Amino acid sequence: MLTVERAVLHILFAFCVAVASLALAAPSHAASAAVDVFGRPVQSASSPAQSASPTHAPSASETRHTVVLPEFARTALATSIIWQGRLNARIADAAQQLHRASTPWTWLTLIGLAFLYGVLHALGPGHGKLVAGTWLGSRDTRIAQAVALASWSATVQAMSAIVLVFGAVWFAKAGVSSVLSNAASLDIVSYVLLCVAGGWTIYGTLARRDCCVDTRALKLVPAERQAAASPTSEHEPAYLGTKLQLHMRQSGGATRFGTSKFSATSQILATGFASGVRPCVGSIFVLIASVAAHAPWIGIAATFAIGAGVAVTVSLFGLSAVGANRFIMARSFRLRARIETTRRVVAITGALVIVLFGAVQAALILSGYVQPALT
Amino acid sequence: MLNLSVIRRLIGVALFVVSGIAAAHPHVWIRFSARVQMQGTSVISIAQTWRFSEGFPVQLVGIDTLPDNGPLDARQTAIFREQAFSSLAGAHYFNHLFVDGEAQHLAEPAGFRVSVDHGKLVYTFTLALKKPVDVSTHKVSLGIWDDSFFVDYEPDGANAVTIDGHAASSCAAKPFQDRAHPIFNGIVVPQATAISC
Repeated sequence: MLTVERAVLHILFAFCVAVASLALAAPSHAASAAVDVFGRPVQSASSPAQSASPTHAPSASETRHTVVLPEFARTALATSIIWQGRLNARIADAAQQLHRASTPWTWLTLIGLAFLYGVLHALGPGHGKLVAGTWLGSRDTRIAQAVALASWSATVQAMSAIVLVFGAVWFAKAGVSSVLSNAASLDIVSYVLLCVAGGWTIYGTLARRDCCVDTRALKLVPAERQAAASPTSEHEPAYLGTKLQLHMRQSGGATRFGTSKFSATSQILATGFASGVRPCVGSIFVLIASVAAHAPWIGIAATFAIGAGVAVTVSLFGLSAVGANRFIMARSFRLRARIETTRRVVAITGALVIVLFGAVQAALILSGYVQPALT
Repeated sequence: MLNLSVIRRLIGVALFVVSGIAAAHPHVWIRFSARVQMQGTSVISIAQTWRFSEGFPVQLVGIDTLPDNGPLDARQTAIFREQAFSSLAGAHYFNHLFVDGEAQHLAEPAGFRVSVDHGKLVYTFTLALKKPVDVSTHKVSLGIWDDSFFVDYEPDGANAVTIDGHAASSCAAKPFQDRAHPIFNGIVVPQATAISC
């Protein structure tokens, strides 16, 4: 088992090196050097004619998708999209009003609108929710951990937008027009960091720092084996002459609790950072609008309000994953004591898939096969 | 071996893989209207108007202030064209003209104008067909959407696409949900318009 674990670590290390090498060697071949306000790669003056020429095939996606979501799901998402649009316009109005007359009511309006926008914005499918849902749903986690992961990820996302926009305003020659390009570049960074976060999870699992050690599991231990370790009682229950003891399996859980807690916290920090480092474009747009109105603090406040809204939605999503996990675990109670090894292998496989996913996505973007996504 | 806990983890992994596919939101909202220029029963060109939401932040290099209302001057229009329009050529300006199910190419946009209407940016331009298409002998549909769904296009009113020019009196434009071309991984079914005579 130890040999296998080392081999896995070697493979993991090789992937990280490959991705890092790709990141260093292939930026000139990246799919998008600059992104415009439509999230599209900026093309040179000669490009439009070239791309519109008869030899250029229409977008493959025009005919690729055939699956359509059920009507009720599409209606719900469409409604959220419509309200996002309305809120987006109202946020701009509120920011303008606040710039003209700073009253508690206008501040409250802006913060409330931005918060609602964040809640709705996070309803659609996206990177952060599913990363959080996957991490929380694939292990035994607490409610506090779900809230912490969602909040941390949203905070990183808000800070990332603020740093990008104000960094561009203060330091970049191209000004804020380069912000979306930089945000798109962070897409690659996010995938590489997901590799690292996945690798950290694998390490934690291999080192038995967490995962698969269920301190609540009950184990029946033959009396004679238990007698060697501790004195037995004559009053313990017996069946067909064999004494069995109900034994709370420690599995080193008590001694490793501190380590496990640290490992889980570090995984939350790593996963949340990796998924949140790519900023929300809605926050970027609000910040740009506030900078243009010479009221940057308004944009910062709105960005954190959007982040709070996103955190609420992602927390709810994560809590449903935690609930689903607990529901299923409650029904696999009898099997829990004997599947530690299987669960560990599957956990490592899952984390390895995360690493592979991040590596493949980063490689595809760097090689030009996939455009960086702005969300 | 495949107990519920194992299945739980596999589902988690599957969800994660799917997350990479479904990662986008609309960030730009545009209400569009189009006038299909016809000659008899043939489509010649498509004149379009895009009305952006107020939240659309155009912080372009060289644009300091915009008028409250009215058209932009030639210099500002050129800046908009260069920095916030030309890059859409690769996406065919989000126009999807299908003739018998085949996507058609349109010529370069003409008459590009930018104006501000009650605080909202408005683009107007015309896309000509490379070759007129007779709708009496072909099944023709027109839709305007962004495959990536970064931009959300909504028709500006119930009859956003209308027939214009010297069209035959029998020609009509009828909106429908284009289920053959769902976008955003099947979440969104765009609206298209069937043009027939």
